[in-house]
Amino acid sequence: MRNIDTALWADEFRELLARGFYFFDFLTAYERDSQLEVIARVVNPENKQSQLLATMIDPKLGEVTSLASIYLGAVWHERETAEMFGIYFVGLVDDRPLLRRSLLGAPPMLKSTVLAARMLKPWPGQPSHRKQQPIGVVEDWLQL
Amino acid sequence: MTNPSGIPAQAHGVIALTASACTSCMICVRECPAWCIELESHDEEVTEPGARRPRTVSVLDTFTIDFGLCMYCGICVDVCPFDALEWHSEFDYAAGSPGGLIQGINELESWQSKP
Amino acid sequence: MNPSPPGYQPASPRTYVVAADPSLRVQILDIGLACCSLEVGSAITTGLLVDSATVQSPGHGATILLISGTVTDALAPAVLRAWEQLPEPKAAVSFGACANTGGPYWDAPSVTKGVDQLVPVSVYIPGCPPRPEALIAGLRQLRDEIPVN
Repeated sequence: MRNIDTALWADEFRELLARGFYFFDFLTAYERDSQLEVIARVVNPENKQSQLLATMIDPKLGEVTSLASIYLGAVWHERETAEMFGIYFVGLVDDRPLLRRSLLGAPPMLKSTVLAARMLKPWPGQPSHRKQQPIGVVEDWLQL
Repeated sequence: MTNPSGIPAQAHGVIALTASACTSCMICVRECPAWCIELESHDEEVTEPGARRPRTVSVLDTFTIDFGLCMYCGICVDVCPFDALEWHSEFDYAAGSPGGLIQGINELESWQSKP
Repeated sequence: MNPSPPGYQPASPRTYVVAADPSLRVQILDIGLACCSLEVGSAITTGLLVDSATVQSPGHGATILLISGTVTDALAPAVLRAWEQLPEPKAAVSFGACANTGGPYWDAPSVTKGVDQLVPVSVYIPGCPPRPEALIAGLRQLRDEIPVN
């Protein structure tokens, strides 16, 4: 995986497309040390070579240039990543949510987002005599 | 090994409970990713003949598995230190309501006697 | 809720006969949305459910909406539309943990926690996924609970 400067993200893919990497495989995000990383993979179907690229998003800006004008296939992945991680793709015209009913509220894939279902349902494993956390919830998880 | 209907005996059909083996340690409840197991217990003191002082044992009051929610992963079966939970291949227990898929001690124990 | 996709038309139900119980003849519209639908397909390929064209069977059963798989809130209107367009008499069967309650996705923000929030479910078949045999058992139970013939 190659790490790319966010400012050069789209340029890098434009160059890869020119070099024959014309199949857009996937794009997603990953929360690494409380910072969001966008990851994408493109393939050259002629020689079966692929390129996996990543860029660390500036948390203050929370945005990266959209690849939609380079790869039409990036649109679906960017829409999904936008609604799930709250990343803004500069230049992505189609911002309709895919799975969420609206883009209001906290992006569900962020580790800091406490899922409503886990707030509303009491954890059956809570011991009576001491505090214990269920697996997979954030540190300061609090029951409503 | 298969049961009479040709289904492997270890098929993830339903989870059977042996209540007498359960120590109410809560490990299964806490490990369940679907939060579909609930149990309640209370402590009782038992004095065994010849013992110098009584010992405290946990007595199971309720134990339920919500098979509507269960993802049949088997983590509870794997983590139980006392083999109180095990797989049974029975699959024929559809219900007319979601509540009908919530099984208590009696129902969970009844799977043990099925072929 | 999102509107249904433009031009969306649910498929037509197909008529099947339960091999072990030929008097149980049902028209099924299977909405297969996830891995559970493979088990439904397996019930057909293994001969538990037989296409009605190949078998003589009396009776004419109710039309069954079989929901197998994960229903998301985005897809919920399409499931509802499929139910509304089914002719009477009809019954809905929920197949597997996702359709029953949300199952492994019980905490997911995009998943409908049980299709009974959308349609009146007559039988809930447990499993993740249920075996193909469990579908047959569920259909038999459906007949016992609500007479479909």
